[in-house]
Amino acid sequence: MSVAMSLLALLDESPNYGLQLRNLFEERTGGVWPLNVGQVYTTLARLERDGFVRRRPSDADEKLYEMLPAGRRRLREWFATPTRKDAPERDALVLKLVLALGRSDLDAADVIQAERKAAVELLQQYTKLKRDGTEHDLGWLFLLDSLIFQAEARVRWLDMCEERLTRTQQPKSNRKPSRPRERIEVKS
Amino acid sequence: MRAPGRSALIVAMIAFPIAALTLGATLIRTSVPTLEEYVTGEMGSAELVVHPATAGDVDTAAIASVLPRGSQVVAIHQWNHTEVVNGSLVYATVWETSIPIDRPPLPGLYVLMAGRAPTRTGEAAVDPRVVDVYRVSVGDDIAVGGRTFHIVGIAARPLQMSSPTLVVAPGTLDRAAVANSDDVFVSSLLVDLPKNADLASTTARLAKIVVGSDVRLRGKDAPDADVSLQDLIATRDNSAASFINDAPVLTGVSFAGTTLALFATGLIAAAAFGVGIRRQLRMLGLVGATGGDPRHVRAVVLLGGTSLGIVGAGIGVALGIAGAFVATPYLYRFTDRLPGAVVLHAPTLLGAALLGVVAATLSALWPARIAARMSTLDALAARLPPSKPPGRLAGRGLIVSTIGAAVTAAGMIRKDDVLPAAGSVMMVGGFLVAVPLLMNLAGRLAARMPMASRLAVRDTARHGRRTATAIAAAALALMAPVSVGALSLSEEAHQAQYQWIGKDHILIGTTGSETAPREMLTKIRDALPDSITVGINFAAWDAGVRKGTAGTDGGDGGLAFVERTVFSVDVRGHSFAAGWESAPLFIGGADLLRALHAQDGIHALESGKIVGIGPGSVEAGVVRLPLPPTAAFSSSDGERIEVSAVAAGATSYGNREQLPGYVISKDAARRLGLVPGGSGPVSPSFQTLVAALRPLTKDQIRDVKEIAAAYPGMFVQTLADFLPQFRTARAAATGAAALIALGIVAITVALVASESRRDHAIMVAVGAPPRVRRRIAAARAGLIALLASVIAVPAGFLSIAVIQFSRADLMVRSTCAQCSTHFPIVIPVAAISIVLLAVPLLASGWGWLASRRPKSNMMLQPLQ
Amino acid sequence: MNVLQMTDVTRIHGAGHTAVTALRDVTLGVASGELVAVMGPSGSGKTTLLSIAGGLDRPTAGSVEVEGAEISALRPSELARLRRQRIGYVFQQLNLIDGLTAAENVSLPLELDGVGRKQARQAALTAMSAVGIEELADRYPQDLSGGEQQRVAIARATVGKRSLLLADEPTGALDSITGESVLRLLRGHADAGGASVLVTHDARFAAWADRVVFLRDGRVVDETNTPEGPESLLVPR
Repeated sequence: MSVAMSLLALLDESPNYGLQLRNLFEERTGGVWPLNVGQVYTTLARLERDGFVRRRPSDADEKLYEMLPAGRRRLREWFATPTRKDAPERDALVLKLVLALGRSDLDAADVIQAERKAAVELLQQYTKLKRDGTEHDLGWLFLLDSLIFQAEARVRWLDMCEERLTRTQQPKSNRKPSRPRERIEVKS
Repeated sequence: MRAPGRSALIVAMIAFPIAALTLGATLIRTSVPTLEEYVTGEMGSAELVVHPATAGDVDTAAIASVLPRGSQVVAIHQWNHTEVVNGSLVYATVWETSIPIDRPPLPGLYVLMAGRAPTRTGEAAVDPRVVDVYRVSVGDDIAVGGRTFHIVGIAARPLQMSSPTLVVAPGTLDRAAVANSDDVFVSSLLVDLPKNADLASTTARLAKIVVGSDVRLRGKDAPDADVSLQDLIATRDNSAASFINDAPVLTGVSFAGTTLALFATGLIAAAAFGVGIRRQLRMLGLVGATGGDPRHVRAVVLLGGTSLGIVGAGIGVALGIAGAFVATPYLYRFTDRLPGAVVLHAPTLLGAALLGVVAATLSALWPARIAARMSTLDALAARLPPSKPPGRLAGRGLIVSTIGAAVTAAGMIRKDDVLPAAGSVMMVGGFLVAVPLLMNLAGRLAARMPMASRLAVRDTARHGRRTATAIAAAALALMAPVSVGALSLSEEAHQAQYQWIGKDHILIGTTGSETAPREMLTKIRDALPDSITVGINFAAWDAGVRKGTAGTDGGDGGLAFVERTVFSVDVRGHSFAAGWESAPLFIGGADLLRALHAQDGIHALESGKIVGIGPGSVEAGVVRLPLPPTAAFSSSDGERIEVSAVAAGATSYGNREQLPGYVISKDAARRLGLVPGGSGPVSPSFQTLVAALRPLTKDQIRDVKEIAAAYPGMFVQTLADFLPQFRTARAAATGAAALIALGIVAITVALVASESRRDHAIMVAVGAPPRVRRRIAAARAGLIALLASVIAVPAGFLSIAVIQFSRADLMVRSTCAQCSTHFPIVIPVAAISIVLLAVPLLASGWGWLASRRPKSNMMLQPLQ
Repeated sequence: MNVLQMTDVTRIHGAGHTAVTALRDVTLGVASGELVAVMGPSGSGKTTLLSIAGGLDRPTAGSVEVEGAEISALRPSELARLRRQRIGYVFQQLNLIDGLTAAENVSLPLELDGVGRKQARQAALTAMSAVGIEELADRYPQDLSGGEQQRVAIARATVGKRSLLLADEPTGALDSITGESVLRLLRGHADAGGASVLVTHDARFAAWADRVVFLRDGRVVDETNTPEGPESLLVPR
C-alpha cells in the first residue's frame, strides 16, 4: 500500500513513465528499498483500475502515467491520516530470544549481548552514513534517522531484557530432560 | 535539614551578638547599686553618720554623752597624701577606723575582699587600685608618704574607688609622727544606735553638739545658707533621698543597644540562612513534589529556624553570663564602684534569649518565602532565580545618598541642628542600599583583573543581595573604631585648644613642701636653652594686716581670689554677661609675665595694677578681690576691694588654679595686705614654672621627666599631662570591632564556600593547582572585608563630623566663656588604616588558610 | 602509541566486607584520531573509568598511561597540570563557572597554567569558532541555553593543544537534535586527530564512535569493531 501511495505522490509532482518512477523512488529512498519494475507496473495498473491515475497517450512505446483528481484527493487523505501500524510482523530476533529462554545449553544473556553488539555495529554504520553525507536532503535524513532510531530501540529493548533476566530466575523448562547436549557458543 | 556544619555556623552567628547583649546588660545591672547598697555604701549598718564641720578633733566624749545607752560611735580618721608612684601622680587616701573594719557597723561601708581586716597597729588593708598602682599584694609592706604599713588584706569602700585608698588598723596613724604637713582629720563618725532608740530626738540632741555656733544652717530663716543639717548629720533615709538613680539613662542605653543587637543579629542570621540555600530549596522542592502542603513546608522551615535560634540564643546567654562573671572583678576600673555579686536579671536574660529566637525564626522565613514562590521543579533543581541586576531600588539609593550629601552640607553651612543629622542618615542609608549597584559595576570592571580576584568580584556582585547583609553587618562593626577614633581624637584636639597651660610650659611641683632642688632646675635649664624659670607664689591675706579674718586654706588669712564677670558670645556675635568666676591671685614680677607670654603687661604690673593673663580676663579695667571670710561656711556676701587691672598676653590659659591667671607685684600686694605663701586651692600645687618659649617637643618632655625622676618626690607636668587620653578606649574599640568584623567575614566566607563547591569542583577538573582555590577563597574574603571597610570609614567618620559641627553650634549658645567654639575634626588615621588595610588582609589570610579541598571527582557524581 | 592506555585497571572502594569493586581488570586503549564510547548500565563503573583516565581518581591496581607516561603515581599537583595542559573534561551539566564569561570559561585552563590573559582569550576564541559559538564569547553561562553551554564546555575541553578529551554523558540534559550537534563536534575533534572517550548510555550517540566498549559490573564484556564502509548496508543495484 505504501508503494502505491509513494507512486501517487511522485506522479503528483509530474507525470512520468513506469521505469522513471522506479528510478525516482529508489533515488529518493537511497536505494534502501529497491523496487522491481514489475511491481511498479502492477501497482500502477491497480491505481488506474481504482481511478486514481490514467495513462496518457504518447508517442513512445512507454506508457506515460498522470494523476487524476480522485488520485489527488486520495493522496491528500493519505498525508492527512496518521499511519496505523497493523499487526506486528514476525521478528526473528524476538523469536530467537524468547525461545532461548529456559534452554540449559545456552545462556540467554550471551544471545542478548551478541545481538546488542550487532545492533550497535549497525548503528555505527548508519551513523557513519549520516555524518559522511551532508549533501543529502531532508528526506534522506528522515529515512536514516528512522533506521537509527529503530536500531536504538532494539538496543534499549535488549537492555531491558537483560535487566529482567538478571532480576528474575530463568523459567524452568517443562520439557523432559533430554540427553545432555553440547553447549552452544554464541558468536559475536 | 541536616547539615551539621551549616547549623553550627548559624548557631554561632546567633550566639555571638546575643552573648554581647547579655554581657553588656548584665554588667550594667551589676555595676549599678541598689538603693540599699547605696545607703550601706555611705554608712555601713549605722543609723547615723556625722560629718564634722571643723577640721580639728571632734569631741567624741560630748557626742557620746547625748547618745542612748548601748550606742556605739566609730570614728574614721582620714589622711590624704599626694605622691609620685612609679612615675605617675597618685592621690592616696588613708583611713583609720577606731574599730577593725570587720566589726559592725563598718561592714558594707568597707568590703573585705581578701585576707583579713587589719587589727594590730601598722597593719593595713589596701584596695584594688592600690594593688594596681603600687604593685603590691597581701603580705607585702607598702610605703605611703614615708610611713610603712603591712598589708594583711584587700578591702575597699564600694562607692569610692576612683583613687587608691588604704584602711589601717586602729591607732596606726600616730598623728604626731605623720611625715607630711597634711593633717589627719576626722572624716566621719558612725553612730550605731540600740534597737529601740528614738532616731529623731537623738538626731536633734546630736545636732546641738555637732553644729558649731558659727555655722549657719540652711533653714526657714536662712534659706540660702551653704550648709544644711543633712550635710552634717545623715540618717539612712536622708542618704536614700540623695541617691541618684542611674536607671533611666541605663535603660535608654540598653534599649539602643538592644535595637542595634537585633539589627545585627537579624542581618547575620539572614546571611547565614541565605547562603546554603540550595540544599534547603532542594529539600523544600522534594517536600512539595511529594505532595507536601506549602504551609507544612513553611512550618518545617520555621521550626528548623526556631530550634537553631533556641540553641544559639541559649548558648549566647550562657556565654554572656560567663563573660559577666569573668569581667565583674575588673569593673571597678571603669565605674569607680565596687560591684557586688553579678546580678542576673531574669527578664533581661529571657529577653535576650527571646531576641535571638525571634531573629533566627524571622530569618528562616526567607528560604521558605523563596521556595513558596518557586515552582517545585525549580526548587528541586535548586535553580535560584538569577539575581536580578540591581533594580530601581539601588538606583534610588544612590539618588537619596546624593540628596543626603547636599542636605548635610546645607545644614552645616546654615548651622542648623536637624539638617546635618538627617542628611547624614540619608547619605549613609542611601549608600548602603546602593551597594549592590556598585558591586554590579565592579563586576563589569573585573575583566581586567587576574582570575582569582575576577571571580571573587563577579561572584560577590552576582550574589550581591545575599552578601550585602554580611557586608552591612561587618560595616556596622567596623564603624565603631572609626567613630570612636575620630571622636576621641577630635575631643583630645578640642581639649588641646583650651591651652590648659602653655605648649611651652613645664610645671614643677613636689609632694612635700620643699622647692625643687637647684641642681634639678639647672639640669632642666640646660636641657631647654633660652627658657625662663620662675617661682609660683600664691597671694594670701596677711592675717596680721587684715584683722579678724579666719582662713580655711593655707596661709594665715586664706588665699586671695580675683572675681570677674564672665561674658559669652551668642550666635550673632553679641556678647552678654554670663556669670562670674573666681581665680587665685599670684604674686610675681616681670619674669613671670614673660613666662606667661604676657610681657605687654609688665609696665602695668610695675605701676601697681593687677595683670590678667589673656584677652578677656579683665573687663572694664577693674577686678574685684573679695575679702577673706570671717567665719567658716559663711556665704560669699562679703566685702570686696576693687583694683585696677589690665589684660595682657595673647593667650588665655584655662588652668587658673595652678598656673597664674592674675598677677600682682610684690609691692602692690603688700600695700593691699597680701603676702606670698600658701599652697593652692587645688592639689597638687606647683612651685616652679619653666617656660621654654618654644612649643615643647616629645623628646624634650621626655628628657625633662627623666631629670625629675632622679629626684624622689618631684614631678613635672606639661600640657600633654592635662589632656584626656582616650588611647585605651580607641585600642579597645578597634580590637573588638576588628574581631567582630573578622568573625562575620569568616562565617560568611565559610557559608559562601559551601555554595561555591561546584565552582571548586570545576576548577579541580580543569586542573587548577590548590593555590588557585586558596587564592579565590582569600580574594572573596578580602573583598567582603574591603567592601565593609570602605563603607564603614566614611559612614563612621561622617557621623562624627556632623556631631562635631553640632557641638560647635551648641557651644556658641552656651555660657562657657572659656570654652572654645571650635571643634576640630581629626581624621583617625590609625583606625582607618587598620580598618582599610589590616582587616581585609587578615580576612584574606583567613580565607587562604580555611579553604578546604573538595572531593576531586565531585563533578562526576550526581549533584548533592 | 595510544594517547590513553589503561591496563588491567582495578578500583576497589573501601575495605573488608564493605569493599565495592568499581572496576575489574579493565584494559582500554585510545589512539589519536579515535573516539571510543563506553556503554553500560548504571553502576557498571563508567564514571570510575573516566575519573581514573583523567587522574581524578587513582586505581587500586593496574597502570594508566597518558601519552606514554604513567599517571597513577603522580602527585596531585602534577595530575592537575596534566588536566590543565593535556586533558579536557566535559560533564553532563553545570560545566561552567557562573562568574566567568563563556570566553573566560574556555580560557580557564590556559589562564590557570599561567598563559597571559590576551593570549588565552585568543586561543579561546579560536576554540569557540571551531565549535561555532564565537559570538557568545562575552555572555555569561546563565544567559546561554543548555546546548550552548555544552558547546562552551567542549571548546574548553579542546582549547589549546589538548590530546585527550573525556566526556561523561555530555548529551544527557539535551534534546536529540542538540545532542547530535554535540556529537558532531566530538566526532570532528576525533577526525582532526584528537583522542576521545565518551561515556554514554544512549546507543544512538555511542554509535558516533569508532569503537563501542561494553562495561558491566566493572568489567569490559564486549567491544564493537570499527565499522566498515557503509555501502555494505545498501543493496547492490
